[in-house]
Amino acid sequence: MAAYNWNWAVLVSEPYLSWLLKGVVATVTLALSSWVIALVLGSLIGLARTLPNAPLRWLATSYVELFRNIPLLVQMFLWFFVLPELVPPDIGHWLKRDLPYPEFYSAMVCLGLYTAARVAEQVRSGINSVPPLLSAAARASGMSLAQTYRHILLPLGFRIIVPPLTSEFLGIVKNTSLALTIGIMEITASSRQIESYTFQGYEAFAAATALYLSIALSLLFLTRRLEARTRIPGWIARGSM
Amino acid sequence: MKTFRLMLAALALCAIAAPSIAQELYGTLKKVRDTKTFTIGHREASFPFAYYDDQKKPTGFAVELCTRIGEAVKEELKMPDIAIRYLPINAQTRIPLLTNGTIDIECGSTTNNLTRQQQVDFTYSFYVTGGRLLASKVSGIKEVENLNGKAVGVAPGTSNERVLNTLIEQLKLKLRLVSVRDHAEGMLALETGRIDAYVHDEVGQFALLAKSTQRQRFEVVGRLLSFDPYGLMIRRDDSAFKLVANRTLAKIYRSGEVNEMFKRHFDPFGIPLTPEVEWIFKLNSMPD
Repeated sequence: MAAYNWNWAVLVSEPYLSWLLKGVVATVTLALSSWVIALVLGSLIGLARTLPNAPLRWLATSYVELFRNIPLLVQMFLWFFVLPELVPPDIGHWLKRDLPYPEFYSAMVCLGLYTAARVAEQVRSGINSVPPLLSAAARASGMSLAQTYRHILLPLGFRIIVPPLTSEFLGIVKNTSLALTIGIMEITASSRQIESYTFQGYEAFAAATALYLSIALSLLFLTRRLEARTRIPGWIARGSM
Repeated sequence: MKTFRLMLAALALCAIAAPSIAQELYGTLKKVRDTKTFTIGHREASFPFAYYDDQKKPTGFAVELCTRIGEAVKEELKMPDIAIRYLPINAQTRIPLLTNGTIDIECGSTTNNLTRQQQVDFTYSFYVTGGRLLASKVSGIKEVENLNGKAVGVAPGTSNERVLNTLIEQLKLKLRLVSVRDHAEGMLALETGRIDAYVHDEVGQFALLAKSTQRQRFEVVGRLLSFDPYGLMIRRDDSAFKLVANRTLAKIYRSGEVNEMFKRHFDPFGIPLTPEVEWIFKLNSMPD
């Protein structure tokens, strides 16, 4: 690496510093907003996959397999470039031009729906890991199906899957980097831009690495506390009831 | 007999002395001599500078110049067995691969500017262009001043983006900037009506038009927005190699051979010889 000229000062000089900061804002906003979609939709779909209703289960399973098995990069492209051409021209035009930030909303929906499929799988396995005897007992004592879900399956199931959901959340943060392919200037895109302007690529990507790592570590710190609070004492350690 | 021995000794001395001259080589020339390979890093879709032909072989105006430089290096070192290798690179890999010695020269459409010269060096600029607008004929966009209220695409990190941002400030334009990942996506955004105009190097705009199936709908309009001389990128502090490279370029430009090369590579894309490019042709005709 003898020929490389290191210049770390580039990271704290303008406009490059504000590009990085804007990148952080874009990454965090996109991750949080798509996480809301993923969590709400994923819970509903995961729940539907455990219902004693075949068409609903089939629909939910199809959703999961469709969104889980198409590469996220391809989905990003489909949502942004292909969808507006498939819908009626008026809606297509609205999607492309009148929406204030078309690329942001496309990426948010795309990431949200993709991660929802993954969350759904966690929710399903959470519900399924509640021993069947418990729900049988609930039904036997006169609870309706809805009540069984409301009071037994969901509270227990969700508390079991807090740790795997944490890692899905970290996953969504990292997956936001794919949004650069449709023009969102998130952390990775900002570092590429700095690289192109200054040719100081190592510094720019080192900054991106440090930023991703610190976002992930702070999230981890927060979710660890959540995990500690929601842990069901003795449940996981004992393995079964 | 004594004279004969003396002559023999002198000859032997010469034999020892000769390699010591070669050892004064440094930088790229030394590396090429030691590894017996000259590696050209080339872009894969920078029309008409560096791209693949039908047989998936790298070709283009810049690739041809680089190959000629490779031949000149062989001649300079008097080592005809040096292999010329081609390695595809992109905007993210070009600096690491050049500085760590994987490639010896980069050919594509890299703008030579002073900020970049803090990191790398460039040969003579082999071509010059600047940003211009590509817009649909019905949009009524003729100049950058018409962009008020429009959606305008640009690839982030390019010199076009820099120029566009400056113009937005100077002319107090209110427009929506749309970042596109690459020029193909810029064209796609234009064709699907996502943007009204795309800002890109003039030469690149012509290449995009040539490849588009809807080329009759669009035209390259307005003045040149920037001055972008393209250079072949080499490592810094390597004057000996730079001299070999520039001497090769000067010969091609001075002899007028460049005109044939230009026709061969630019005519298929319908790219005209602009006055700016003619200056460069003249400037590069350095006397030997």
